[in-house]
Formats: sequence, structure tokens, C-alpha cells
Amino acid sequence: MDEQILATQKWLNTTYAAANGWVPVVEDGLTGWDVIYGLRRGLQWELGISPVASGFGDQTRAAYQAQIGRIDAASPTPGNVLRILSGALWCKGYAGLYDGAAVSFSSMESSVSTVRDHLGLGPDNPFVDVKLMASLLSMDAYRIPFFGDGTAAVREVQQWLNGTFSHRRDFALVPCDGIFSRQVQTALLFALQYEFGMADGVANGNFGPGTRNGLKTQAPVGPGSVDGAKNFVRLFQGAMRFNRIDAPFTGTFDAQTSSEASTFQSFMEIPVTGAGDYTTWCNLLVSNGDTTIATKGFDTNRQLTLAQANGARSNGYTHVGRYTVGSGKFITSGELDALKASGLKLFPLHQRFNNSASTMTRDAGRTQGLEAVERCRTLGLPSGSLVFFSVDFDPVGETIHGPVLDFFEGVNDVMGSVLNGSYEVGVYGTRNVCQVMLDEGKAKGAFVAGMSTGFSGNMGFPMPTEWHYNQIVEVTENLGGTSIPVDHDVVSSRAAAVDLSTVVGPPVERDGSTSATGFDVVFEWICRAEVACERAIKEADSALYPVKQWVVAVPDYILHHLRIPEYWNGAYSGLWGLYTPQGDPDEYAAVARAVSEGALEDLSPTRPSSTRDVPHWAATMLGYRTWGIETAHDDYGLGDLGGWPLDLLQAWGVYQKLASGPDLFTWMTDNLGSSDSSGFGYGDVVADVDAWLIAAALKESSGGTLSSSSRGVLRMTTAQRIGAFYAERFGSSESNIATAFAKLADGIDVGPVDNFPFTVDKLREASGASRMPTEAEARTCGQAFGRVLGRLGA
Amino acid sequence: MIAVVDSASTGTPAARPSRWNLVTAALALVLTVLGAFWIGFGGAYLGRVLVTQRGVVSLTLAPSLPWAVLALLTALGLLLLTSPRGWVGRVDPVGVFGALWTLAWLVGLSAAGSVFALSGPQAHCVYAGCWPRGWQELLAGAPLVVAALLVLGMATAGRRMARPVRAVLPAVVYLALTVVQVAVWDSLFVPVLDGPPPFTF
Repeated sequence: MDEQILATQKWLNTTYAAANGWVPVVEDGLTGWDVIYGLRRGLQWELGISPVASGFGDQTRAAYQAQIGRIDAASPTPGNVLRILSGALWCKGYAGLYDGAAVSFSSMESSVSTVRDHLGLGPDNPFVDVKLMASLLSMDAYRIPFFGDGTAAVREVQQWLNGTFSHRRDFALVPCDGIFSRQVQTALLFALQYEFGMADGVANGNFGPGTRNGLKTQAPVGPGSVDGAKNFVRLFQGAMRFNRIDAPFTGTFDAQTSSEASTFQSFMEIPVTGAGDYTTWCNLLVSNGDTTIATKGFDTNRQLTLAQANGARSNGYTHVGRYTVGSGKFITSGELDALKASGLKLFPLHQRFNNSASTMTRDAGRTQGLEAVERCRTLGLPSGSLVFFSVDFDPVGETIHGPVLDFFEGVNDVMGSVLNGSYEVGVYGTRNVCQVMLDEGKAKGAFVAGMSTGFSGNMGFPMPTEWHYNQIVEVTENLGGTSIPVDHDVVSSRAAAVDLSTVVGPPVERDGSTSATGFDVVFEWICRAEVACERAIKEADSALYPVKQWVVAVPDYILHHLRIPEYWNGAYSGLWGLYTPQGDPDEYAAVARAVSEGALEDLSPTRPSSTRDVPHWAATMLGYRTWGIETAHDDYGLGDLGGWPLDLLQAWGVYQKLASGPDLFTWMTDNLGSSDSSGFGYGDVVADVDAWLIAAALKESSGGTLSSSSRGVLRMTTAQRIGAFYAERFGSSESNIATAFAKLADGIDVGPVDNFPFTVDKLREASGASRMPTEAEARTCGQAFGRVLGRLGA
Repeated sequence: MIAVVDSASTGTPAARPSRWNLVTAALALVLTVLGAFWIGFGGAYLGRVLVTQRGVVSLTLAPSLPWAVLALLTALGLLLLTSPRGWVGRVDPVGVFGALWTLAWLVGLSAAGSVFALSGPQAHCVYAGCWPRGWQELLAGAPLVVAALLVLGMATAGRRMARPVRAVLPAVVYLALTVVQVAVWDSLFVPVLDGPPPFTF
């Protein structure tokens, strides 16, 4: 609390209580906008403005210039105006009028002199004109704040700008706090426009065609350039300082300036010339830089075809930004293949709405983070891929540090919460948004919405240090013969795009199930289920309770969940409890199972809605997971028992009950894989085939995930899968199947014991037949099954 | 007064079981598990009715040599469970444990053996309550169940009975019931098991 400021506040409330439009000032002795507004209102009242308001606009300026002009030692100034000046000085941290001092300018002359010196206006013959009064009645600082990002280098430029251009009509004094801001950027543009020769009233501080033309025709500077009548070298050096480049500020384009220019050009990924050329000027002045340059990257909300992807490559693009979600704009499986085939690298963008502060909450961040993790896993993007989450509006300080930061905390809560294949968080937004998220550790890279040059978050903010992409202009471009809207993106050398060469896209839905994304319904559900299980396990994990190790069992948890209730201990499926029991090796595994099962039950939908026989597939696959995979082409293993042998045996049971007694081979080849009433219909064949292929892939991957193991398998058509199974499992030989099935038909071999006691009878019970097939009959069944596999897999 | 029936000549129980006692007890446990396996899981070599279909009965394998050997081995296991032990007091812990052990294995293996006919969603029980699931296994295992209960009785309340009677009674009862069971199974039990349940569930 400052006694002088408190006295000022009390004086304002006492003096102007009756003023029309007066708003009482809080008497707390603290500087801030409240007391500054009070001083402005007081000044307006002294200038005869009624009602008073809190701004310092044209009316106030005009009245000040008309009635006061300048306050100095020689001018008669009303006492209350001097008191207002005093209050402003106190608020700025300079001495105003002390109690008992004469209310005169001379009492404050020294402070005004200091203020002017700090502003770069020079200490001599101090006075307060309308520009200085407007500056004093603001929150502009004239010294580098103790806590802040201000630098002496920037302050030097600010002071120079004030000193050099304050005589121009529309040039407002800039703060001298060493901080690059929107206000300072505007001042820099004014300065450039003045140097271009624009008259007062023409120069407007905007980066328009006139400015671009001036930059092209007048402003280029380079080694050897020295300021004379024009100050383009200093302006270039100052602009570099505003962009965090430690350039000299001498007015001479020396070797160091050239070197620093090269540093900036390299940082901005523009041609490194070491000179102040047009492109470099643009990048120093506006967030979208030179929009005419060719970029290596682009982003679009269109789903790209192979022709368009190849067209993009032909146009020189190497990177493409595409949306992970969003109706009609998300990356499809076919598109991913096209991007891969074209050689483009991908930077994934994740956006729902995110276009106002109200949409930016921690819960929304969690929701979108989870959605991104699930989708990225579905797409097969490698672990560590950087996903850019969008902030598609122009938030200012409090909103960025409030809702936007909350949103990204929510995203981070989820993005790192999986155990296999976590992804990195990136931010798309204005320079300010990106820099804050990077500084707060909530993002690893930035995709700058530089195209929005008018956004407050882009003006007066240098490029974030960890920028990866800069979106500079939206155009309609011909890609492979089709014109589509694209955004040009400058690509940084830091850009960590996804190399698609090793990415295997998701399988597409081929079985007629309803899929909103076109991805295979079961596969997409598995990806989501894995994420749910992994998150639950990670959340339950601790140093004292290390359950994380059991993430390797997630495939079993998911498969068990999927086979319930058809193949579990219901009224009809006790065998499966015996054949594929669910046990946990230790207490940690039990916890991992419990939390995973809870997470799976919470999924929506709880199970995939597929036309395939998912429970059958899951149960059969658990058999392979429990008992292993037989690799000999002409033998069976215990893991097979829940799959094709049992189904074939049940077909035998159906056949054996037929009264007509048709030819066994004919009946089998006619009915296997076609009629469900055969006991081994098409859905059963597909389930058995998928179970073996995916189980084999999972075993091969040694600790891999169910999604990664099923990805390649399910990308094949059903016929291809059946063909692959026939080839890999049986060497495409009917004879091998016949031999394997005949070995089973006389009883199950358990370890070294051939035809373990009672197993024939149990197999017979499982088949529903009154007797087991003879060896010859079994061979016939096997051959017929081979014939069917060959036909279906062709 | 504490009755010490299997005492040594001194009339007091030995301090600890002999090596022979341990060997016979272990053998008894192994043999009774074998019995539980072939009776429970294998259905005692009797014809089995499918719960999923009417009129499908597996071939009855008893009486046969393997059946006889397994029955005798099972009886031997029972005999060893009840054989005299010098260190035993009022309650024979080997008998008590062996009886419960046998029953537990029998129940577990019977349950396991009963599920094969129900191997998938297409397999549906013919009758309500999945008749004769459970009852069929109970009837097949009945001789061993009775024998195991007798072992339990001999090891506790029956300790006052004469030692030879106590030792052989469960095994003899088991063999007798097994023979009777085979004799009447196909004619008496199978029709009931294959037909509709004789009572309402």
C-alpha cells in the first residue's frame, strides 16, 4: 500500500464525487486500472467533458490539446490538472506532489524529466503533452519490471521509437518496459510506414498492401547498409530484437547483424540470406510472414485420395496436417494408405469445437485426449507421435492461463495415461497460446495459427521457440487434378511429423456391421478397450502395488470379456471354464484383471456390435493363449481344441444324426463353411481362422497388443484370411488336415500320453455324436474341411 | 477316559507315525484320486447319457478288465486309508483327510467331466434343469461316495469297531456297490436318465 496513491484516491473521490458519470475509486493505496481510470475521469471533468468515462479517446485528446496543450514550467495549468499529473506520476512510481508542496509543475519537473528520459524523449526542457499524458494515464511501464520478461535490448528499441517518431501525429508513445507487445508491434509498423514516406493519416500501423510494397521496394537492407535519412537498418535490427534475436542496434548492417539475421531466418525456416530481404521483413513483422513462399507443409479438412496425395508430393509438399476426428474430415484408412504411398509425413490434428473459452475445460481436455489416444491407436500411429490440439480462437492472458490451460491439463491427464503407445501433446493456436502451453509444460510442440494476423495472441508475440509448423495462408490449390482448400504451413526442422512408412493403417469394415468411421468395428473397439484397460491398470499401479507388469495380460482380459456369456460359465458353457480357466498368478494380476474388467464394463458399447461371431473368436483365441499354438501342419495341439477341431467334430455329430446317410465327403464339402446347421458354418470358420492368425501374430510379437496383432490380419479380406490360415496352418494340404484330425479322433494326446484316458468319450460328448468317427471317417472330414478352406480362401 | 484302540502293546499311542504309515497314507491318497478320476471324469466306464440329446448313450465299458483293475485299485486306496496305525488316537486324521480328499476330487472331476457336452452356444440341454446333469454323475459316483463316507465314519465314530472290520468295510462296500451298479445301470438307470426328469425342478 502506497500512502501517496491512497491520498490520490481519496482526493479523486472527494473532488469529483459530484461529477457526472463519476465512479468512486477504491481507496486501497494500490496502483492499477481502477485509479488510472479515476484519474482519466478527473482529467475529463477538468476539461469540461460530461459525463466522464474511463477511456482516453479522441474527445479527451482534442480537449487536452485545445485547453492545455502542454504542461511545463512556463504554462499556467489548473491546479487539479497538476494534481492529476501528480497522481499519475505516483502510480507510475515517480514522485508527484508531496503534502505541503506547492501545486505547480516545478514541484514535479524533475520527475517529468525522468519520465521523459525513460521514454526515450530526452530529459531536457520537460513538458507533458497529450501523448505523454495519455501514456501516463495508462498502465504502461517505463522501466523493466522486476518480475517479467523485459529486456534492456527491447527497451532500447522502444525508447528509440518514441524518441524518433513521437512527433508524428498518429504515433502513440510505447511503453519502455523491454517487453514486445501488440502496442509495440503497431508502433514498429507506424515507424516503417513513416520511413516509407507515408503521410500522417495514411500511415495506420496495419500490415497491408502498402506496407508490403514498401518492404519490397524500400526496406531491403543487407551487409554494408547504413542508416542515413532513413532508418531501415535500425528498424530491421529492432524488429529482430523484438523477435528474441540479439542483434546490435546501431543503424549499421554489420557482420553481426547479418549473422543474427541468418539465425532468425534459419529459425523461421526461410531462405538464409543474412540480409533484410522482403521475406525476412515479413516474418519479423507479422505472424504469417511472407505468404507467397512455397511451403513444405499443408493442412486441410478434406479427406485426400491417392491422386491428391501424389499431387501434393508433386507440388513439393512433404508434410500434411490432417484431422484425427470430425465428421467428413477425419483420416480414413484408405487415406492413410494413400498418404503412406505418396511419401507424405503426417502431423495429426485433433479438434472438436474448441472455438470459445466455454469449450475449454479440463473435462473437455480429458474427453478429447482420450478420443485422440483411441483414434491414434486405431490409426496405428507410432508411440510418441505429436498430436496437435486446437485452440481455435483468440484468447487473452486470463483465458489462456485459465480455461485453455485447464483444457491442456485435461489432455495431458489422459495422453500419458496409457501403458502402450502413449502420444505427445502439441498445441495449435496463436503464438501466445502456443508459448504459454510450451512454457507451462503442457505441450511439446506448437502449430502456430500464424494466418490469423489480427489475433491479439499473434501481435506482439515472437514465434514460440518450439514451433513445428506455422500456418500462413489459406488457398485453393490443385492437387492431382482436384482443387481443394488447403492451408500452407511452414515446416520447422524441429517438426516431429509421423513417418508413415512403417505405419499400418486400420482395417476397414467389410462384414456389413455399422461403422461410423468405416474402420473394422471389432478392431476399433479393441483399440478403445486396450486404452481403457491400460489406463485402469496404470491408475491402480503404485510402488507398493506394482500391477503395471500385468499389462501383458490385457489381451486375455479383453478376450475373456468378449467371450462372455456364450463361452463362459453360463448354463451351457462349462467346458470353457475348464478349458480356458481364468486364473491370476498373483495378487497384482488379480487387481489388474479386476480394474480391467471394470473398465471394460464401463466402455460404451460394452461389446462391439459386429456381424462376426466375436464370442466364438475370443473363446477360440483364449484356447490358443492358454494351451499354445501348434505349428506342425499335420498335427493338432491342445490350443486347437476350442477351434476348428471341435467345430469339425460337431459337424461330424450333425452328420452322424442324419437319417438319410449321405456321402460323408459330399455332405461335409457342401455344408462346412456355408450352413450354420452343419455345426461349422461360415461364421465359425471365420472365427476359427481369425483366432489362429491373430493368436499366432500375438505370439510372434512377444508381448504385443491385441490391436497391433490383429491389425495386419484384419486388413486382409475374409477370403485372404482363410487362405492365409489354410497355408500357414496346414501348408494348404487337405492331407495334412486329414492327418491332424484323425490323430484327434482317437483321443486327445496329452504330453507324452497318447489318447489320454476318457478323452475319446469326452470328445464324443462334445460332438454330440453317438460315436466318434473312425480313422477313415476322420480323414474324410479333414479332407473335406481342407477342400472348403481352399474354396473359401481362393 | 480316552479310548486308545490302535495302541501298541504298551496301550499308549506312538509319538509319531512310522515311515510305513506315511507310505501307505500317501499311496492311499494317490489311489483314491485315481478312483475319483476314472469314476468322476470317466463316468465309471458306464454308459453316459448326453444332456443335449435324447437317445444318445455312449457304450458301456463295464464290466471289463480295465474296469475291474480300476475298481480294485480304488478299493485298495480305501483299504489303505482305513488300515491300522499305531500312532492314532480317538480320531484317525489320515482317514478323515482321505475321505474328504476323495470326495473333493470326485466332485471336482465329476463337474469337469460333465461339461463336455456343453461346448458352445449351439449346445442346449434337452430338459429343464439340464437333466440329468449332476444326477448322472452322482449315480455314477455313488459307490465311491458311500465308501468315502464310511471311511469318514470309521475314522471317527467307528474307532471302537474291531480293527479288521473297520479296515475292510469301506472297500468291501465300495466293491459290492460297484458290482451292483454295473449290473443294473443300463437296464435301470439309463432309461430314467435318458427320459424326462422324474421330478419337477
